[in-house]
Amino acid sequence: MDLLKLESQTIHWIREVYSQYPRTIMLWSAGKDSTALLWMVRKAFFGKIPFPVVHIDTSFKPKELIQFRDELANQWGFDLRIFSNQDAILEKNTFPDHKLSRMDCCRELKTRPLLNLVKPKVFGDDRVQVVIVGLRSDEEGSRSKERFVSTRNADSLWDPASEPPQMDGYFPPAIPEGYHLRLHPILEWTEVLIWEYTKQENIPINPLYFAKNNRRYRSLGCLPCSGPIESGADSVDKILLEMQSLSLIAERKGRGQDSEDGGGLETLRRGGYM
Amino acid sequence: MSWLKIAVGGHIDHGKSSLVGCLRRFLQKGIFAEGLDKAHISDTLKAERATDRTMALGRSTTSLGNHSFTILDAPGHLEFLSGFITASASADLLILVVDARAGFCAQSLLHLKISQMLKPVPVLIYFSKMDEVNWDKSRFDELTQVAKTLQDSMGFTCLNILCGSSLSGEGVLSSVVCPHFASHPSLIEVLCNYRGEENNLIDAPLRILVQGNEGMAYGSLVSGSVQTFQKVMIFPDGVIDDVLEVSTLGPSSFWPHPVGIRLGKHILKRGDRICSFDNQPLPVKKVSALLMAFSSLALPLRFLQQTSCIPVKSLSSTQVLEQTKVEISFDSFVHSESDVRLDFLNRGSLFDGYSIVASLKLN
Ligand SMILES: Nc1nc2c(ncn2[C@@H]2O[C@H](COP(=O)(O)OP(=O)(O)O)[C@@H](O)[C@H]2O)c(=O)[nH]1
Ligand SMILES: [Mg+2]
Repeated sequence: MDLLKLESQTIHWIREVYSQYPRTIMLWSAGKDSTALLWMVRKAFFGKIPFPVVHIDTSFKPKELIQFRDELANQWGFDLRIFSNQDAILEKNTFPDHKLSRMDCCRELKTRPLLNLVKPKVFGDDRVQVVIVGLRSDEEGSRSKERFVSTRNADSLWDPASEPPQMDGYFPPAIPEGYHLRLHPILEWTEVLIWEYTKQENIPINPLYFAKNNRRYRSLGCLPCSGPIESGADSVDKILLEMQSLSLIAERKGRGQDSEDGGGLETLRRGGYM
Repeated sequence: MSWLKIAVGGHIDHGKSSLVGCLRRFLQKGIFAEGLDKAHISDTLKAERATDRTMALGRSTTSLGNHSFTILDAPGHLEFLSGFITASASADLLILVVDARAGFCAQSLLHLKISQMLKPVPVLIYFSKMDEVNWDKSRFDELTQVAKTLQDSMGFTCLNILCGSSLSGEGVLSSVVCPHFASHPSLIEVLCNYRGEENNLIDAPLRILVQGNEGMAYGSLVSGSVQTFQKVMIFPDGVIDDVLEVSTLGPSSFWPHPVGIRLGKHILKRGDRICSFDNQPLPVKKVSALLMAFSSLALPLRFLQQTSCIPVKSLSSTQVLEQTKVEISFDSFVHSESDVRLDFLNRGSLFDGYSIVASLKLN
């Protein structure tokens, strides 16, 4: 019952915003959250994904993730586009190359390509109006301050305290020149609910989430900044069982960048990060 | 399994964030550091922690057994009213936090008013900081009397009147020790037992609001039910057609209820409304609206008909700073409340600290 209600809310928002803002794209990390979201996009539009799906490749993602990404794009037949900051990668201007802090590395390899996506002439003649992001309010502090539709100004900056009022399931079709919107359709889902839904719908899942040699990833990111947890859970059922005790520990604990910046992603996210 | 969306409102510093923190520390055991201030559990922004005030709406979903709760912690300052408007527009329940020492203040009343205009949901009134008044029974009775008077004049459904201390959790997570209040359930108990308002959307006449068309039309079932081969009427064009195909996510009696629909001849588009041919809506040209605006600027408000987007009535926001009732006449017919939308066409106004709340009723 609550999964159907959450799914309905998610699909309603995707449809409502896309129908008013056809220049929409979606970010897909190939992790469990954005894959569940992609599944709901297909349900919203009767089996098709009507907009480009963007993967930001940092070159430090596990190879199993990239393989899963390409296989699913093939299987579902959507318009997958891959973007990255090639200059930084080639010049080894990154954290794993010991040149940048974790936060600056995120900014270079993820925020920068993301901000380029909303510039004119990247997708067609006009700029992108909406970027759909599969973030959840329970992931970390600054994401709990997000709205379903969240505005980004002409410099892609975020100011959570000055968001306009929002009605339930509706956002007016008027944003100032140069602004873009972030749509967060799974904002009110939790980690457990995503796993329950993944099980219910039998959604394809990245094998890195399943235990091998007593280790599995709970949250997927770049290899140098996200570590696996000790776990024997090698199926969705076992992950759900494990979650009952795991919820005691923050999900993104394995993610290095969360522990810098006074313990939050706020600065990074105010600057345009997803 | 149940899922409840709760807006937490009330005056500045009355203890909204502390109550949310008290609930979340209990529901999300072990996530938050021991020494973390309760209010800072949902006041996560650096600026909020530095000034000890909530600036942006905080949101969190947590579960207890079979119950899931999305708790929306709204800011109390008038400056950040947009947060409360957003919370109350989507919540199933309002918890109004009232400081037992200060009693009902300006924003307590404003939040009540806004929530009842936007979405008249049941209200749970919670007197916080009862520890500060030594669990004084006469103070509780006095405040309860004020609450009852408000209820009589505003006509809202009061789910319960509780009191407690969000710092110790007494009254929130466990019952109050003081014998005067021993019969009160704890706030968390009330939330777990609350089943939500049953709405009889299924029994009401068919209304589908079409959002768009992607090979098949998609939209939201506002009320009623729809079957294949059913004869329907499409507004605003006024054409009659048959339903060829319907797709839904499953049986559901709540909004939003996404549907896909294909008709025999007519190609549906955004803004179309589908009604049953056998039970057509009564068209009207007059609508009354209850309005309330908050603005330092005299921006124009305009009523639009969803499909045409041509303003049918304009007002200046300074005319409606208090709750005001206006009558609007449309050129073409209106068939349901959802046909009318209030908008501010001045683009910049979205970001000028400008808010408007409205509830519409067909005459
Ligand atoms: N003694 C006592 N203090 C409280 C209680 N609830 C909140 N406070 C204090 O009241 C102040 C304002 O609380 P806060 O939750 O930030 O209020 P908000 O502005 O409504 O969110 C803080 O200093 C809290 O510690 C309570 O139940 N008892
Ligand atoms: Mg607060």
